[in-house]
Amino acid sequence: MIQLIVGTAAVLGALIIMAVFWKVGTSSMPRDDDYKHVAEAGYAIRRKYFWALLAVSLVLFIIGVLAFPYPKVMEAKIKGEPFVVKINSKQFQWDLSAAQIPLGPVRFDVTSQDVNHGFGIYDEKGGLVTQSQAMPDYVNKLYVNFTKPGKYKIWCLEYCGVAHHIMATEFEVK
Amino acid sequence: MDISYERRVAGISMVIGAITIVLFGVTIFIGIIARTSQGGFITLRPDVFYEFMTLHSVGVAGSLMTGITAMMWYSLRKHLNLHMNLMQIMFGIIGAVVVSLLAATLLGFYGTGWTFLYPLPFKSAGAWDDWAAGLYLLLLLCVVAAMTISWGDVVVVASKKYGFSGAVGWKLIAGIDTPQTTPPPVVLISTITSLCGILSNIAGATVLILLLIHWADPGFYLDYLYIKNLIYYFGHILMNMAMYMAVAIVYELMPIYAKRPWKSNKIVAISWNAAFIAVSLAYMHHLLQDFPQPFIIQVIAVFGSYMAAFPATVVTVVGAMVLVYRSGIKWTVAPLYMFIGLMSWTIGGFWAVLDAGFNNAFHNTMFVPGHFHLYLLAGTSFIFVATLYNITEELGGCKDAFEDRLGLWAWFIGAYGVALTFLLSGVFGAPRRYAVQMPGKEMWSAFGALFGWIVIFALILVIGRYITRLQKVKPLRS
Repeated sequence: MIQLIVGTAAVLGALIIMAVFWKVGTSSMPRDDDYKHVAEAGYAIRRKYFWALLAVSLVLFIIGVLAFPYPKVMEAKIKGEPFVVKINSKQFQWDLSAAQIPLGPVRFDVTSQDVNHGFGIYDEKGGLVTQSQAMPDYVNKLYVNFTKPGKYKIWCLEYCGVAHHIMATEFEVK
Repeated sequence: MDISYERRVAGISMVIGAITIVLFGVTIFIGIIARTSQGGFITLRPDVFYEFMTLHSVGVAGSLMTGITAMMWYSLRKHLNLHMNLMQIMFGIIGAVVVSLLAATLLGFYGTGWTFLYPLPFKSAGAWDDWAAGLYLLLLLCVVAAMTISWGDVVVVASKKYGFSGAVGWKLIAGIDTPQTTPPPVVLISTITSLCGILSNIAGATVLILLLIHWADPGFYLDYLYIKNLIYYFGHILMNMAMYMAVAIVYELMPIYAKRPWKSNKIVAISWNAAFIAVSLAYMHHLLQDFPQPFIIQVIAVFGSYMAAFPATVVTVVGAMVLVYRSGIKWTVAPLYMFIGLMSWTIGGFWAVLDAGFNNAFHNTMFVPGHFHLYLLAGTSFIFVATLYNITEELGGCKDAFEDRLGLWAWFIGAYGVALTFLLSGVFGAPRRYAVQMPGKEMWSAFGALFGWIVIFALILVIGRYITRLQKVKPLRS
């Protein structure tokens, strides 16, 4: 869902930017020799643009930080004790401590035995649910609140070598 | 400034431009072959796909970086007397190293991608030889050294002329505006950008030396997270620098076409110093899915990414629009490339901010190549090509032909098609760097490949036209 909203914003934003460039580019004629006047008008618009950009950036920044997937944020959001699944990765396979997971809050403790991997959880429709990196010597604690039962797939999202694209497995939530 | 010096710089830039745009075209071609395989039109073995992916990313970055450095040098020729011998040696080293890098990749089957994330170079699961990893890292270190010498020269020469604090705009910020201390924008931006590049190269050299020690002595322990930070600080800044150098060129060349001045002032100086800080902070967004990074660093990463939008759009993009509006500019191919290049930078930057802001949804999906392909393939490279056109106009009096416009618009359609299909496939969850596309997402790769071939058509036109236009350039000694 978040991907669709942001994707739509990305395309709409691109169209707006293109429209502005088109408008300015096609307004180059006729020449106005009073450049000072043109510049003053342009810089007046710039001031308004600055404040608009600041407002939009602040709102998006706050939304983004509140949506952080890190334990510090997620532990405050998730109610109840999470079901813990240990994820160990190595070229080119995933080892899960449980292949069947109950609905509700789950904490994946993700690490790697060899190189960097990316732990990406995909739903049955092929949409990316969430992700974290899997790095040797470090454990990424990824919280997910599963609300829909079904089969989920894990794909590697960090290039890890010649069979990176087939490093996948699945688990079931019920 | 000595006229013969200016002509010699233009001549050398012209030749380096020709070499790098051909190399750029070849490495794009390699990338499109890989994408064509991913789209299901042909079949490459996975190990070959990943070799091609590595060649494409390192080759495009290397050729574009070298080309745009030469164009920056060309744009600085009226203001700074850079050391020509040093430059020639630098370009020579890079040329030799790029050829060796290709050999290391093709003969040693090396394929880590440009990121060479530790410890992947040393754990190939049998895909590439150990010597290839060592050679690759060593050659990359040579490129870093050569680039540092070149950018160091810009900082030293600019500082001698304007004083260091003048060259980087601190005097302007302090309210001191004299001809002796205020550089033109191209010098100010090039100096700040070069400084930024030197810092990223220090990180790059550090990590490459550490990895080479590990290569020689596998028992030498390295912290994975620390190394990852260094690699992304190096790589992220380097690619942003390429765009910033391109923008510096726009500050110098666009006023020629618009017949209006674009001068340094306090706002320009503040904005480029802010850009320096923002780009240095924004690299951290590459590690947003590494949860052990300190929480405050993750907050700063997102903050830095949003911050980067301010100097870029509020000052530079609006400044370019003010320059162009009612200027009577004739939209020949060179200024069009520049103007569209700025547009692509703006859109690509906007997409980059969205990626950083909502990174958990997009990290390492095709959304990411979507944004950076736009500002490399239709941003930095457009300004690079604009400068090549400007050189042949200035030295050869060349006029645009139909093929020039055809090349521009074909490239535009191809590049925007590539970027948009990448971006949308990322929205629908397609991962990046897959030799065989994830089931159900193949259609996007097929469309990406088709648009890529339009870019190849455009590149053939652009390179052909550039070589044709070079014929009209008078001998340098005349």
